Amino acid sequence: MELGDAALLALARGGDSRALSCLVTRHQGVVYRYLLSFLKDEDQAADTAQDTFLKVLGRLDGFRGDSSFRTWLLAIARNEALGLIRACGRRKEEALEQTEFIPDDADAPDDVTVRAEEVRRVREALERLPAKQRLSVSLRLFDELSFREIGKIIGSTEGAVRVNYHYGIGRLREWLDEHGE
Amino acid sequence: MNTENRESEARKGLTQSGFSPCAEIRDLLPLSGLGFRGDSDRPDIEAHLHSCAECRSEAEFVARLCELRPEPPLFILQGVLDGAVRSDWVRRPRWRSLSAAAVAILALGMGLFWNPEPTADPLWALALEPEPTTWYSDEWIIAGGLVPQALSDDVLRALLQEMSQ
Repeated sequence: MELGDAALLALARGGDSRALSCLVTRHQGVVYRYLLSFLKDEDQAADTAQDTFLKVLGRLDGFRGDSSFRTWLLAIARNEALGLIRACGRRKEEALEQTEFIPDDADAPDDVTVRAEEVRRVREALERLPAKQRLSVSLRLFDELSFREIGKIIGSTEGAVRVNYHYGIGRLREWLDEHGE
Repeated sequence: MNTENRESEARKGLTQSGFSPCAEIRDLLPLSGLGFRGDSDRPDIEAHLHSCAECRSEAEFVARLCELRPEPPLFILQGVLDGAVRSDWVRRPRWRSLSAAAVAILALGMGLFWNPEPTADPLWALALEPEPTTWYSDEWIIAGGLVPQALSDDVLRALLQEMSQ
């Protein structure tokens, strides 16, 4: 039987490393993709995801269960990402709208790299979306969060998230179809 | 109506939700748990996707995107576990500290109340019995046992001389 987050948290608070491992395994995907949407850099997203979990480790007693563990985790991840952006003096959000889509002009890739190449193209297309559209699409499409939970995470109403999601999907289709996806 | 309710509603029947079937279906397309990624067991959804080219096209697009989601690198988990060990989180969890305190209190209590002289066990009674200072036979000479305190120094000296010959 699979333990829920609450049970794993209780065990992790007691120092159970297996419970910690389960929590990280369960949530590392959504944290990583969320940070990737923010930072648009795979290495930074991975490092910041790691930092996020370590920060969570030190704050387990501070989680009161007012929101879901995932929502709380993503709030911490967001703060970590914002801290990193501030530290680097980057203005990713403003630059996002001006990012030019660069189609892949390379020769046809072999079978081994086909998927990696497709993933890269989708990620680049996602990066062109405005922040709220990008986060709405990523969290809904890849991690199947409800529109309401996404709203809590990104600070929007449920209706606005729904609209952002559909706009985002529409623009992705347009761009990727245009470039042969 | 919130998302969870609408999703629940959609499971029961699209026509009851108040949204158009297209809008409902497109909202739900990413949810793999509902089986909309190609092998839905919902006849009404399947029927709609067959009859609506737009929704079918979006379903295929969403399914393709879902297959291409970025996956986290493997080192995240190991890094977190290593960091936890470095921070002493695994080795010195709070419950162990509490347990150590509990054990210390218990040991203190045992020290106060524990009687080290069990009297019921005959073996303990024999073991705790004072050793004899006087032997009543000559066995002590053979066994090399304790020197009886009752013998005088002169007698002892004579005995030692006799044994050394």
